[in-house]
Amino acid sequence: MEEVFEIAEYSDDSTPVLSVRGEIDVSTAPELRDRLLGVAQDGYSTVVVDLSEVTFLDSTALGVLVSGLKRFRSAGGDLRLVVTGRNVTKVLEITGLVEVFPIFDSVSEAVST
Amino acid sequence: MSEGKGGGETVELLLPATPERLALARTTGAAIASRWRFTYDEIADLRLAIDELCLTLIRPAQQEGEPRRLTLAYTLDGSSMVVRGQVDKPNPAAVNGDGQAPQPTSVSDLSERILDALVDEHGSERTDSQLSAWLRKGRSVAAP
Repeated sequence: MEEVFEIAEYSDDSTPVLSVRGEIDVSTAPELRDRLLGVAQDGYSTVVVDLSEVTFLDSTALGVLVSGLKRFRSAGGDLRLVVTGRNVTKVLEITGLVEVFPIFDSVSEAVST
Repeated sequence: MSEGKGGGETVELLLPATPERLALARTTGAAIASRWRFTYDEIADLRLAIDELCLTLIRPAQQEGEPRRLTLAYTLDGSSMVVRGQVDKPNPAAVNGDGQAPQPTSVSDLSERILDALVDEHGSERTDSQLSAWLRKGRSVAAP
């Protein structure tokens, strides 16, 4: 019944990309947090998080993304989101975070900025 | 499935108050909302709102590290779905003096904003033996 949750990691034009698939909630958000931490510990200051295959996102997931944003910005970089789904867009809009994160329609746009 | 207090249909769900069970709580709510002819957008709103409702209840249970039981009741009240959740026997230290469950401030604020935006009414309260929370969301299209 539950959707598969996966995070694929790759580099696009030397920028690390975390491509997330499935539902990000209180049970899966810790894995995203750990992967973001791993990217930062590898020395990268900017990361792209591709949420285009994410079907559900709650306040726990938003908390992880906001913490990641602070971490990468404090290192002089950024955390960029790729968002295409209506559900994810709506959550970012109603929490006001659409004004906080740099949001792109595709990974190629996010890495070339 | 049973008759609710107002004569509406009620579905009850009893499950461990653990993060792994939240998907079941929100998916059940979505399935019931579909059966009660809520629109696609309203069902998506309810999925997220029910998740946030449950989070307000299971976060204290997680902090205490003791197994808890989460009870959810989904009721069709007129043209609204009312969801009431409760966790049994919370540690009194796990709630604040105003009866609200303690949460990390930033995440709590996000939960509050999400619930404010998605449902018509919501709230939480503490009794001597239970931590509870509820929400109400109206249906835009009357059922035939």
